[in-house]
Amino acid sequence: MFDLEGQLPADWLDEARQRLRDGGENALRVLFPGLARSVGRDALDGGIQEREGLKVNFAAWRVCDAAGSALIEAAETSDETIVDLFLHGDFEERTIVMRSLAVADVGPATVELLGEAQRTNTQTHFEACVCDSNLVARAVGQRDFKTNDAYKTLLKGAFVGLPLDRFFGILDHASPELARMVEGLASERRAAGRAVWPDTDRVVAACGS
Amino acid sequence: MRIFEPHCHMFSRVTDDYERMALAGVRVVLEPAFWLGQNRTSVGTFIDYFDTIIGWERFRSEQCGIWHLCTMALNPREANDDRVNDAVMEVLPRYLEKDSVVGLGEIGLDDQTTKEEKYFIAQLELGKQHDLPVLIHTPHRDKKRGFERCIAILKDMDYPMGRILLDHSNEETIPLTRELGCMSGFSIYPNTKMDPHRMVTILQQFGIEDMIINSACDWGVSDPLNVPKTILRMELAGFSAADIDKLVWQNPIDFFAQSGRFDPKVLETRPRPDRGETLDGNSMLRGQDPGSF
Ligand SMILES: [Zn+2]
Repeated sequence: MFDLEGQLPADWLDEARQRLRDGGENALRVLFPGLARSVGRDALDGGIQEREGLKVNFAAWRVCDAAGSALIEAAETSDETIVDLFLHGDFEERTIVMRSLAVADVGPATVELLGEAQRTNTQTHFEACVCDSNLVARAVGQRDFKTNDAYKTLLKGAFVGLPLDRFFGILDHASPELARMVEGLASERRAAGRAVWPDTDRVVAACGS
Repeated sequence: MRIFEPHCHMFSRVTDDYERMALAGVRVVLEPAFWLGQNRTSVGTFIDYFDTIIGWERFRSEQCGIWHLCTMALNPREANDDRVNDAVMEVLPRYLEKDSVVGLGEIGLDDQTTKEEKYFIAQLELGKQHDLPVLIHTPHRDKKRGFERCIAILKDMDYPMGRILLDHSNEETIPLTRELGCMSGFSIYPNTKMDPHRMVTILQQFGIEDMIINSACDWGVSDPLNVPKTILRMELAGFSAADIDKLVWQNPIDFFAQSGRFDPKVLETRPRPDRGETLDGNSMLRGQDPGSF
């Protein structure tokens, strides 16, 4: 969908694909932990791109993230294995799996991992999953991911202080219920004498009443 | 003094141990995958254990200012257990590729059974495939015979000895290994298999070349400070600071750096702990203020 392959080392990609053809998803599970070691963590070129309803800011991506996405696609990876790569992945693998969701259709694994993002307090994994793309916005209404799930995701982002602008398209789903949730957080913070999420007013304004 | 502690099972130690180790100069711990004091009955508990030592345990260690590395393996004791042995072998390849895994181990012999030998040899092949140095557990009973058998197997396979660490050595085994070109490890316990005093005598006799010392601290009677305690004895016995540094820092670094998975320069610094951070919702703070340590 997005052309990221040009930024991956061609020899490495050929060899990895060969290993996937020979070994399938088992080979993928063995290749995945070495991604950052093999292709590095340099920032990807590209900035914000849009294709077929997907919007991603590749400035947030690294070469190893693109490599992970390429392998998941090349192996025609099952949803079960995508979730397994996250659950039994180390820190870097989990980041890569989360980021790869932004460039793929919303499948059962996406919804399950959006749930993991909601439960994790490893902020890197939360951000890799829900920020810098329109994944949360476009997941709404797909499978059993509901509008309210998107709200809870944004609320968690607000709770840890992430900018609204990193959740592409989320305000397309704005409603008075979202305003209520965001205002609730703000009122709790004010009562505690703590800083209020700077984007509170923008969200409330977009929610109408 | 900077210390690379190349064998400790922090999984069964408390956070106070990490703090005391950090204060005593430990900058890196290496956690070999091993037995847990009782047998596991399914592969799932191995997977959870492996995930812990690359995940939570690493996080916990870094929160105390200590880098955490590990080795992965099916240990020799549970190699005897048909409920788990083959299934663990199946999941090992992916774990041997994890970032913080810098070796294969503990493999080796324990009760010296045929099954132990079968999985020892199969895992030595894995060590070659994944290009990792190997940490070998040697038996505590009938040790000399066990050492000889391990060495015979390695020679049979023509295994590169520079990639082998034969651990749990003692006075009787050290003459067997000096000419082999492998690393010799000594696990220093509070009073039984090897103690700081005997260790100093061995070092005086055999030198520090290709030698590694560790506490092998685990769920049993053991002391995570036995490397710093041995260092003190070495100083009192007149060893130079350079020799001590080679023994407790450079030797283990050189050996495990063969994995190519870490930058020795990074290990010289302390990880920057942010104790307000959490791993999967789990903080170490238990309600304390981040500054209160
Ligand atoms: Zn051990």
